[in-house]
Amino acid sequence: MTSSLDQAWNLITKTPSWFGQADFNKKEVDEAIRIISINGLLQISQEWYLSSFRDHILTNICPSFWAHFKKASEDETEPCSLFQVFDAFKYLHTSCGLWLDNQLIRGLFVNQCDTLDDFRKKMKYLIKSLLFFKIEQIFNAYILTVYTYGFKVSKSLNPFSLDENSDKDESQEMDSSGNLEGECMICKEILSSVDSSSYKDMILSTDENRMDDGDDDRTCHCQFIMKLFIEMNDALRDLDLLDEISGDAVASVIHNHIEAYVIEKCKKSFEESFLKKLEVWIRNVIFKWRRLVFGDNQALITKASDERLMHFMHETYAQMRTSQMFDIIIEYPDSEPALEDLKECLGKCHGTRTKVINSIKDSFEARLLHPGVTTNDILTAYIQTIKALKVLDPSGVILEIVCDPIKKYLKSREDTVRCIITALTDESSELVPELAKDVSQTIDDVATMTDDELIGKNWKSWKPDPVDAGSLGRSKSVRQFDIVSILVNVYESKDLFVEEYQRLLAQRFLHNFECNVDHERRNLELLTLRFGESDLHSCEVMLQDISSSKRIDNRINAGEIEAHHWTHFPIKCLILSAQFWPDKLGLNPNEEANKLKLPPPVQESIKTYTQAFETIKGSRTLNWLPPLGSVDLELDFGSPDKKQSFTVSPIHAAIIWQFQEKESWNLSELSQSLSVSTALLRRKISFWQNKGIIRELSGDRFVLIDNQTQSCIAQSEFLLSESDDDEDYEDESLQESNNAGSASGQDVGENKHKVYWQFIENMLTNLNSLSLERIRSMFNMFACPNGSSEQPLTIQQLRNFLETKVKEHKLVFSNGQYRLA
Amino acid sequence: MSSTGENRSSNSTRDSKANISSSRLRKELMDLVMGRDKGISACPVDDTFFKWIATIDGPNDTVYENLKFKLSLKFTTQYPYVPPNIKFISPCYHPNIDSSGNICLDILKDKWTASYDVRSVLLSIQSLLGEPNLDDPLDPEAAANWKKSDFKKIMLMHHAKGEKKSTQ
Repeated sequence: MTSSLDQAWNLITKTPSWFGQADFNKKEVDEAIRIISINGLLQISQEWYLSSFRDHILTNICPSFWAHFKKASEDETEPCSLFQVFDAFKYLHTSCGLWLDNQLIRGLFVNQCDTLDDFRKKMKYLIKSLLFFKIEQIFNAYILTVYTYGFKVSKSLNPFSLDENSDKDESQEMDSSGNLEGECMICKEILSSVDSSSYKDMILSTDENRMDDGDDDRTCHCQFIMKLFIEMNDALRDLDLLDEISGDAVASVIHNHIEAYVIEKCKKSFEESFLKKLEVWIRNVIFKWRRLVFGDNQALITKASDERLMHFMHETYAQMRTSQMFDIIIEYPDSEPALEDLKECLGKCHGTRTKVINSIKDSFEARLLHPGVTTNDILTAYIQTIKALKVLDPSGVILEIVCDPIKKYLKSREDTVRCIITALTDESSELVPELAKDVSQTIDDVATMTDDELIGKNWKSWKPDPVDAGSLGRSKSVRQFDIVSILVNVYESKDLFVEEYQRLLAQRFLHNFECNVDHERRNLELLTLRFGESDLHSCEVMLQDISSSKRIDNRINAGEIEAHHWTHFPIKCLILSAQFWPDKLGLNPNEEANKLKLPPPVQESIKTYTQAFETIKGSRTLNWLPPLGSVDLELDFGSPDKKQSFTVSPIHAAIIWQFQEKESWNLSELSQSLSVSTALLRRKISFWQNKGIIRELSGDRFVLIDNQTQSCIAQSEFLLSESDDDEDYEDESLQESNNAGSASGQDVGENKHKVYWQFIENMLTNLNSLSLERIRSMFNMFACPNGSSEQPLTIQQLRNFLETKVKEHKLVFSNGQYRLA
Repeated sequence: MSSTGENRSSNSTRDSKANISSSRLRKELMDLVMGRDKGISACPVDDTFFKWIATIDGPNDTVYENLKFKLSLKFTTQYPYVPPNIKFISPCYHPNIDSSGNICLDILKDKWTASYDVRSVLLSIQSLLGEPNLDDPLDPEAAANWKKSDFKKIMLMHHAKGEKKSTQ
């Protein structure tokens, strides 16, 4: 009995060395197991089996397995061969397979299927832990290469089945790198890494078996490589090593590929929506390939992992689009599909919002907000941004954050208001339809509406603000996409815009007498809808002035009024209501030019014109502004070919008139005669010098160039703008204004001063006495907050103002402090 | 008594909340200055908007006629959701005002809403002077004296005492 047990044990312990050999005596083994079993030693045998497996791994499998990688790891520059890896795993699978399943193990676990499975699991753990307790960097690189090629090969093998739904042409084009003229570059590449080893022969021999025709170089070995690749995956899966060994590699291959694909497919075009296509692609290509590698292993291919990949694709897409935000904005509306895609990604990928915001901000900083860009371009970009971000983020929060720097920058540019107003009123501008858009609320209404009011109106569609809105500290009502309001709000005050518009209007009328009043009226009506009637009242009066002066002018020039006789100079006149035109009529007239003395005949005409006007409008008169307007004149030098026509300003005309009387003038004489300073005169004369009509001799002496035919007849039509204190429009017509420009200027000043005084009175009432500096700092702090259109008061201005109040006995100044009297 | 505002507290770390309250207070100041209500005025004391001094004229046809009262108003960044802290600086002998200037007025306490502003509060205080709430006195002695014919004399006496105290 004992001896048979000994024998049986001896037999069994020797068995492992026969694994896989043909002369395996099945009967003997069965018998031995039976004896062991009878003696109740199965348990011990099982343990022995495991421990000898362990020894086997350590002494045999481990060294031989790693030997497959040895050669390449000595010289790391050499590309690793796929076949080394394939071979290594093939070896591992076979050698372990012998131990995992054989007659002995089956015998030891007879009738114990569950236990056997557990036992095998234990063995697999042993493999995992003993073999891969230390994985070399180079090994991971091998694996990555294997899977990279694995992906390429599988793609080149069946591009159409993988790329099902996307256009076939494109996928073919994409694979052209792999399939050039029927020659497969991928397997060539792979094979090139194989030195003249047995693999090549093996491959070639299999190929020859497969197809006898064709020349070797042109044969594609992908099929074969694919087979090996699948085998390797099967082997790994069999040993429960798949996730351990290839999980990372598969993930990074997939990620790399998604990245490359997204960039290649979508980078160039904003005009197409890609997300859906990409999703289809992921399902068809990536998911399929993953199944190819992992098989139907439920643990490895879960829904969550699929979703992760989908999410990764969204993230990649969002990242790419984020970096292109500036171009997307500029190309709007063509880029709308891209924006819609990105919007979807924003909803899915956390943190993308911030990235988008930063990207836009950075690109603005780099490409827009520097001195090299014209204000118009900035405005255009701003408008584009508003439109584009409306698509991307209907809540307006991104827009608000992103546009802050633009606003600040625009504010610092002097010509911003002008550009905006010009753009708004220019017929060809893209802003005109914006202006004409129906707005039910004026700018003020919206700005003053509270959140509650806004929500109350459409509470059903209310959505909470995104989290990043909190930092704005502003109410939702301020955020809107009405481009005109946003532009106007650059300055946070519409007054500035109204002022600028008024100035622009004045300039248009004064520089171009034939200005299209109807067009301006239409603009004004549209602006009125937004700014409200009261602010644009003066502009309306200005337009009124233009049309009514045309009427009056026609009446006077029709000879209807007796006082007006035809003289040499037919005059057309614009009658402006001084109070309603901007300061200095929006122009920058030279103060001293106001004193310009026009030639006597012209003055005569002006006088009769004024008289005629007085006859029509009983109590009113005209104050002429001689330097404004234009003169059509013709210079006749005696012969017909020497006639020249000009349209010039009155001062130019007056100068050349003087040369009609005397062909040579001293500068100072001329200055006296015209009552214009010599400096201004010299500047103006240069006009005629440039025309070659007057030249300077020496020492401030000017002569007509053509002195043979000096008859210089200025047959002209004076067009002068004049001012008229039209009391119809003014409630408190206080002063008899002597000068249109300064009168309204004073008026504004008075108004301001009244406000100043109210403020100062209020301060001193409560704080008793204050120093000048203190008044100023508080004043600028409270009355003129930053960003208001008001200029902060200078200390000198304030001192002057307070001095006048002291003189009026409203203030007392003592010990450096002001207090109320 | 009057602060000339030399204690310029530089409050550079104003958060956005403070901005909201100070922009509201700025608007109120503008309204107050432009509104020119008779007999009330107010003005911030320093560079922030959170400390004001107000002046109220005693209402006509009351014992307080021709008297001027100064008040201090202190706002927090929670304004207008929290009422300002208002106190009389000038002594004011009144049933609803105690000797340290505290005012017993419902809209400054539980009846406060964000729709009140400096102007309306000052006007309420002004009218409180003429029409005290005798049911809920803060100064029982003044309440007891209110109906007396020589209330004005008592009041002026108290004021003179108060002035002396505050100047000491």
